[in-house]
Amino acid sequence: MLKIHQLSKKLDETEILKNISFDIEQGTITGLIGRNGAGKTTLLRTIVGILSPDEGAILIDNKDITIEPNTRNQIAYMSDTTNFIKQFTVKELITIYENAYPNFDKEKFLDALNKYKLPHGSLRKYSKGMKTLLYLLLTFSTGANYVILDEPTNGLDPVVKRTVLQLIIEYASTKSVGVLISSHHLVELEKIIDQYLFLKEGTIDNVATMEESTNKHFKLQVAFENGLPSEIEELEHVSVFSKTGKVAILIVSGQKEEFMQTLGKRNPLLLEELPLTLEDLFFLKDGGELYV
Amino acid sequence: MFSKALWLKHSKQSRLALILLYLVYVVILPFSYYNNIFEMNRALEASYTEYPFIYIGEFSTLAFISPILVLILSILLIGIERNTGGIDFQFSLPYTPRQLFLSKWIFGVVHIFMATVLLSILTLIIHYSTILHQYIDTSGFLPIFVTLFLFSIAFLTIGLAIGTLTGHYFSQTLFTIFTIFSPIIIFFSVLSNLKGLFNKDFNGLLEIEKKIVDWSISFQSGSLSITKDFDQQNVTYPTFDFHNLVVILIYIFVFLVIGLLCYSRNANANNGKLFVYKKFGHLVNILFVYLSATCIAILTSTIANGSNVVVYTIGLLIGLIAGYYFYKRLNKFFE
Repeated sequence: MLKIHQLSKKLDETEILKNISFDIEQGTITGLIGRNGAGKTTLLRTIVGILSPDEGAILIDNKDITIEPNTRNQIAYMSDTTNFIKQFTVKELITIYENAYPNFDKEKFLDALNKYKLPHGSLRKYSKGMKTLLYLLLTFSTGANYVILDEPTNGLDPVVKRTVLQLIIEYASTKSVGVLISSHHLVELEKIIDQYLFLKEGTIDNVATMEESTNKHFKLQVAFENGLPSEIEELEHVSVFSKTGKVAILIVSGQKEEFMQTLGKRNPLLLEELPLTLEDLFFLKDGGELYV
Repeated sequence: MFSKALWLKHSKQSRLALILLYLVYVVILPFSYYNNIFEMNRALEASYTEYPFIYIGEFSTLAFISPILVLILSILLIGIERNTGGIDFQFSLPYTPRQLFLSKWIFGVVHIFMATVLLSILTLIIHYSTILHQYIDTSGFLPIFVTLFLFSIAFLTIGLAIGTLTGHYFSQTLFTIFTIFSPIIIFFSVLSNLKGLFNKDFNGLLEIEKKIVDWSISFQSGSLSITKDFDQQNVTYPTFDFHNLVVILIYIFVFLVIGLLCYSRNANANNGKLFVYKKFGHLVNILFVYLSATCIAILTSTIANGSNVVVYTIGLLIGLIAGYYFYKRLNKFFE
């Protein structure tokens, strides 16, 4: 198990991460979501060792990676940019990864390279999608038990994006790799994650599975003759997702039946439940200010 | 430290400096040594009267060029990656900061060693296959190559250690150059301020100056030239300057320790800024303001053509203000 224990990190005297704790199990995919500036990248960079934590520890099977640096090869990282690796050839990258990670599976990597028709030469001839795919294959071929991915689908076309997501599921399930993935593409993320971790102002606001969240919250589309009644709108456990004329979409926390009955008494023109998405939960948790 | 992964990354990153290093050590220097044959022949043909003195000074030239080359190497190994994102890639690999720093240092040392060995071999081949060996023996080569090797390593170590304190290759370059000359610069600034403010000569301090020069690394490793005097029928060879070697070794040790400590403590922070450590940046700020004030005070005093305490003090005050605002702007530029 990868255990993040009371992790804190300051950058330029600003506390970016505040006492963060969570676990990642092998074979599961955890989505890391949050607004821009919430501390997602800092969290990932600290877990991987790019930044050193000010307080707290990162443990793999109860071994602190700063005390036992050998355990570091159990974590592989894919950065949000492929700028640095583009100066290398595929052969050079294989040399780097197979020497850095003792369990690097070269054969599997070469098979995958052929499967996805990625050329063996210089990365300068690669498109953005090809570079991302190659970087992902390298990261998963390290043989590490935990893989940290920072916005792997950024700027990819839908076909490559789909391939990348399929690859993540494939490696997480067949190789029993624990994946922590940060992304703003919530629709895609929702399809592959087992649990999500919501980061807000440097602290973990919520860790839950989609199932747990749908049990706690629900989404309704309602329409009233004179618009949404203000007493409904002002209820603490009701968030107005959108309001257009008579129709409003609400995200509600708490007992569904009870709330439906309350609405039903007000003779709505329309009252139907919509499927709750990760994007809705994101809005619910941190949809206030434009900038954070 | 010897990981192929890191060495491949280092060589890719420092390719330019390595090409220059090998070009100078393996092509230019041996070729230059070879050219001494023609000097020698000319001296022999002229019956020594016209050219009684042959000066084989390639190695002294190398002692001047090599520090520049290894400083470029150190900047490419540690400074440039702070601005290209290479440092993140490197730290994402399963190595400790200590291993990363040592791998850079050993990488540089090995390349300097290989270049020096190749230079020695080529020099000896040229020496024995030409007429040079009839007039010059090889006894001077060992002190030359050993001194050159250690001298270059000292500059590489200084460059790398400063690279662990600075967040940008610009500040790494400037601060490395300053560090090399700092003992003497600081001494002269104190001396000139005492002289300017008290209008007195402090000749008693000259003894200290000698000590500072003796225990500082010089930008040139001393004379590494071979000279043949046909009139006197003798050859002068460089010998081991053990005091100089001790100074070089002290510098290597001290800066290696500084580099290791700083890189282990906080390696990947404040990239792109002038300094990695804020408190250290404040110290440099004070030093910068002080030195620029001294410079301007000396300049005003020279323009006023006299040793007037008031003029010197005015210059000092102007320098303090100018230095403070200039540094502030510089710092802002790199924020």
